[in-house]
Amino acid sequence: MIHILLTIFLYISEPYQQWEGAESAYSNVFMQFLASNDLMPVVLAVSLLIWFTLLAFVIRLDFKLTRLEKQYNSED
Amino acid sequence: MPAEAIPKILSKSKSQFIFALAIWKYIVAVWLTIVIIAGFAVDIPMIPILEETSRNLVFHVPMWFSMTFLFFVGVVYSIRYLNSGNMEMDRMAASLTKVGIVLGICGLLTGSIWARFTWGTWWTFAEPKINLSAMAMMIYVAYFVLRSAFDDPQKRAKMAAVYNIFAASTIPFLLFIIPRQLPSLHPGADGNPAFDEITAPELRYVFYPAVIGFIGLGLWLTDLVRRSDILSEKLAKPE
Repeated sequence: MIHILLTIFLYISEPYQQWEGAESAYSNVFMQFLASNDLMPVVLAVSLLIWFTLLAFVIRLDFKLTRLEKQYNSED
Repeated sequence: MPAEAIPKILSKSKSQFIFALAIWKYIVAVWLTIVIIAGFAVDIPMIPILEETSRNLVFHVPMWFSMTFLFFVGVVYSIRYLNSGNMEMDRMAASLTKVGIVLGICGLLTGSIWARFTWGTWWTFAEPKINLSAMAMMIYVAYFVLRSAFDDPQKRAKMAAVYNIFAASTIPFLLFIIPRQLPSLHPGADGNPAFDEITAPELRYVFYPAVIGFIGLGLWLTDLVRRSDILSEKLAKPE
């Protein structure tokens, strides 16, 4: 676990190398990051976005089922 | 409960349900989030052709492992149904198999994408593991076709349980034994080094927790499917 956390930290803290096709003068740090060669964090961010959306859907569904079960059992 | 009352209940929001989830579900959610972060962030050795795509190992293979796990737990429930005649066992077997198929389809999709970027094709009939796993999926889809063919619940449960035993008995042969005897690009196949000989330790640290995480997610989804089936069955019954 420590190894993984350390790797994540080193990965994030590495300076970004500019992608050749990118405009050189992005003042925005976020845009500099997106235009860098190092796109793995972008893939990670998109994957996490999809994962959290799915997770929110599953958790919401679970709550709704619990609510329906309680309602149904109280009416029985 | 009348069916028209359901939307009203669904639209209610109550704060007491925030902590209503079982603790193990929260653990699965956090566990898999860490697995996803580690899967993309961990520093891995660059193998020619595979390069960054080897990260797919922590998603693609655990999907197959968890599918196999769910199918085998499903067949245990089918056998328990045949022993006891308890319909709850049949429902559990059907729910596990349903989620197993979803994970299997995800495994096929992630495998197909991986094949495109490493072998240059989305699908090839020369690769036995791809085709045999697709065949395994079709055998399991037939399980649900069979279930839908019976109106009588007892008869459906009995036929489905017997079929499930047949379907589960094909999995070791289709996914593990036959592909290993034939020439294949997958690790562990005839002439290829096995998984533990070629996989970088960095990936393995993430891979094994990923297997546990995906099995946990599969069990969570099974729980949802089973509970929604119970509710729809109760609601379908006349008052």
